[in-house]
Amino acid sequence: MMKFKKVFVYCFRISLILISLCFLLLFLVIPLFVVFFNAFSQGLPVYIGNISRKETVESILLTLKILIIVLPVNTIFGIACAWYITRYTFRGKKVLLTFLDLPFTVSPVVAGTIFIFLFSINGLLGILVEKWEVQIIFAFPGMVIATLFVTFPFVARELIPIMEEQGQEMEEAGRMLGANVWQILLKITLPNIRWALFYGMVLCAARCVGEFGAVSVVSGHIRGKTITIPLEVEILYNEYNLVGAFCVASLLCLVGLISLIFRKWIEKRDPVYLYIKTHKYGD
Amino acid sequence: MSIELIDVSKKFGSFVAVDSVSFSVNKGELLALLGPSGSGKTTILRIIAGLEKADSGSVILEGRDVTKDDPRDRGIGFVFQHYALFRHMTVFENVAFGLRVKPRKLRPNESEIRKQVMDLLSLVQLDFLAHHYPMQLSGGQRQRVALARALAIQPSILLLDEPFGSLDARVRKELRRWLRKLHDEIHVTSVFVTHDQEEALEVSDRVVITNQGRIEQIGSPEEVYFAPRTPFVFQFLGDVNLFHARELSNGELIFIPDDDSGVEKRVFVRPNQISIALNWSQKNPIPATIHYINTAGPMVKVELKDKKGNPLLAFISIEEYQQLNLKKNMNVFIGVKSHHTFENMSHF
Repeated sequence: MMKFKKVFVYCFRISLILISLCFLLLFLVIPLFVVFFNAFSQGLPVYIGNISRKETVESILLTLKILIIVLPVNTIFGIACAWYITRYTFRGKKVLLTFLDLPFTVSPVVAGTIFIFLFSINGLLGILVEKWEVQIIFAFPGMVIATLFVTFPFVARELIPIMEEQGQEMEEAGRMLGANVWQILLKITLPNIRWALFYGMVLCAARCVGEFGAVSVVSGHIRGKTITIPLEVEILYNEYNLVGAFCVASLLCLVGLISLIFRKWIEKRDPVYLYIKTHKYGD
Repeated sequence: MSIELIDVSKKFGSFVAVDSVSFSVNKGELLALLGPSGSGKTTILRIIAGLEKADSGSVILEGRDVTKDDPRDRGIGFVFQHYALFRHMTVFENVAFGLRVKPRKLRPNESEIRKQVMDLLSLVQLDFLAHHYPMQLSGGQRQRVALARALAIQPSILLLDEPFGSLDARVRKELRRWLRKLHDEIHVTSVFVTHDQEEALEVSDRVVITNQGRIEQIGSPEEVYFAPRTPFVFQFLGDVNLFHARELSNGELIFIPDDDSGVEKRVFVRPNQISIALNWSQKNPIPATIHYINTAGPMVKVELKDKKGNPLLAFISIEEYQQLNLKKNMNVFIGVKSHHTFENMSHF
């Protein structure tokens, strides 16, 4: 009887492992393999040729331009937000925390549509657009705003648990020793959250580069002007240039893989960060 | 007068943490804020430091009203309960922090900083650990680093929040004697918070005893121990036996009354003021049964129960214990050598 039970448990465990392996293979490994296989299916020269096409290079440059604006803005916003939430008690803290998750729960397409409603000529803020004569929708500013919206929680979400865990005794000690707010931020707070901050920035950057839905809605798909890397993939795919699409897509995959590698590297560097991530808040 | 608190109150939501507290600390004094947890002592300390804003009342340091001042302008050294050392800095950098963040004009140069920090580290006998990180230190060592760091800004006042709270018993005793010695050397006005009455009575010049956000008594350790003003103070400073006796008009106390003559009195007696005898006598009139005996320690602890089943505690010397040959479940008679009564019994 005992033996039967043991065998049963063993089989159960093996089948669980098998199911997860199959799942991983089917939905992660094979797609990733397909991307790189197709990208290189006609050899390295064709790959390089595809990557260095004028439109592709333009899309890469535009994506980088958006990244250069969005990443610092959301990093500063994330630090400020996490600081405010973990260092002060105020009414509506829970509401703010819920709103922070909004970009995770709202479909990016909806987000894009919201900005169209806001900033188009007939939109709520259309008067401002007319007055200042800046094109926001179907132009670079709109794409930045959409990306800002989609990526704003990443840094704050990484920082809040670790800052809560650390408490503010160290910062209070700094105050008692005569440090001003900037000295406390630069010499005490930031050094203690640097790995969480770095990882939050990596996540933010990865999402920023890969964002499709919201940006697609506000971009207007103007070739050579408002096409980012993911939009370029879509265009190439729609033009039946499958190899070209996969070549550009492989760049996005690379960004994703690099951010995962970063994560492993960070966890090795900062055991406290790993501990908090896995034990206290799960992930 | 180095520190003066005038009518300070503080609420957290509806909880009254500090309820119109006033007291002052003399220059060079080592004062203990003693009370059970939740009695407001840490909040009082944080209000002096400026880490907490009082709802009303004022804080005066060295004759200057600092109630509205930022903590960094108060010139106070603060030692946190869990040390709050900067974990990403070496011991040296921790202690140097207060010097390095000074405005450029007041900041000493590098060699001056080095000298001051190493002097402080040798004062706390940790110069050999200057380049270690806090994580590599023991609890007692971290505590001393925290102290050195607080002293680095040459504060006129030193505040310590449960300075020995998270250390084991032996290190605690060692460190608090060391702190007393250090205080006698550097003479900085100091206030420390503790819930350990032994610690407060042993280390401090004066004790402020707090309860439920209010001050129960202020005085030297001898005063509060031998002349407690309230039942709370008496109970908080040591073990207590409570007797319901009757006081006759001539002032005599009857512990085993046979009628209703006189006034009912609650009488507080320390365990070492209780005598035990095998036979009834005028001095030892109260019958009791021995419940438990613990001989480990300098005094023998005898737990008894009186006829009504109320628990009693007596400390007697080992010689007395051996002479009486006390055993568990023995019927004995006890007496009261000295006692305390309080006029104001509103707390009971």
